[in-house]
Amino acid sequence: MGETPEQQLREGLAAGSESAYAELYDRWGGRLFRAAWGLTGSREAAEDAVQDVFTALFRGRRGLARVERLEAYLFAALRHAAARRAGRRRGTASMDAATLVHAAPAAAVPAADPRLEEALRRLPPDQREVVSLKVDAGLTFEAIGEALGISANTAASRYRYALEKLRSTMKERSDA
Amino acid sequence: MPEDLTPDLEALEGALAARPAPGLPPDLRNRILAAVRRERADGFAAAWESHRRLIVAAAVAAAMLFWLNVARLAPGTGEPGGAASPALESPERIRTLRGSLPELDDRELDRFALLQAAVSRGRSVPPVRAVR
Repeated sequence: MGETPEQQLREGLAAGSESAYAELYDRWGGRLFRAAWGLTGSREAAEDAVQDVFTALFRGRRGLARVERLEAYLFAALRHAAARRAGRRRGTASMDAATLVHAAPAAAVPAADPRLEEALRRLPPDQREVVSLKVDAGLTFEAIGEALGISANTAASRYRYALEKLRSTMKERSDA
Repeated sequence: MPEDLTPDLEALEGALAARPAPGLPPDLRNRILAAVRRERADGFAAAWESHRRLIVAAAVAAAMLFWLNVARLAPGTGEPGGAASPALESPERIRTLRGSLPELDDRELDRFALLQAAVSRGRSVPPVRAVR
C-alpha cells in the first residue's frame, strides 16, 4: 500500500530534509502566519512565532512519528510560540493563554471595523484562541480541540460563546 | 453548534474572516529555511563533537590496554617490550650448564636456564619435574 502525501511529508520532516520543510511552509505557512497574527496582534511577533514553530519542529523531528495529526501539532506549537513571543514583547516569560490577550494592538494593518477589533481585544484568551484558530487558520473544531487539548464539542461551544460575546460587546459600544 | 449559527452570528463570522490581515511576508520563507539549515548545521556539529569525544576516549582506552599488556609481558620473557632473557643473552652460562648437566639436550638446557633466571628474580615458577 502506498503512503499518503502527509506520511511522505512527515517522513521528510523527520529525516530533516530541507525540501520537506519548504513544502510544509508552502502548505501551511499562510495559515500559520495569519493565526499567529490573530494570536499576537503583531506582525513581527507573528513572523517570529512561525519561525519558532519550524525550528521547534526540526529539533523535535524524531518525535513526529508519534504525531497523529500534523495540522493540530503545528497549531499547538504555534500557540506556545505565540505565547512566548507575546510574553517577550511584554518583558515577561509567561506561557499562559492570558499572555495572548493582545500583547500589542493590531496596528500594522488598518482595521475595517474598529468596534470589531476592540471587541476581539476584550475576548477572554481561551475564546480568542478558538476564534483565531477557526477564522484565521481555518481549522476544524476537531483540529482545534486537538491543538488546545479539549474536545471538539468544547471548541465549538467556546467558539459560539466568543461570537455571542463579540456581538454583545459591539452592541454595547454602538449603544454607548 | 456553530453549524446552526443565527444569521447575525454568521454575519459576524463573515466580518471576522474578512477583516484585513497582513499578507505573508515574502522573505519569511527564506528566513525560515535558513533557520532550519542553521539548526541542521548546529545539530551536525554537536553530533560530530560528541562522536569525536568518543573516538578520543576509545583511543585512550586502547592505548592504556596496550600499555598494560606490554607492561605485564615486559619482565624478561623476550617478548615485545621486555628485556631479552638472561638465559638467551648468556651463552657462557649455557655452556656452564651443559658442562654440569651433559645428559640434557639443548632444548632442555634452555628450559633449565630460563627456570634458573626466573627463580633468581623471585617469580613464581611452575613445578619442575625431575630431569634425567
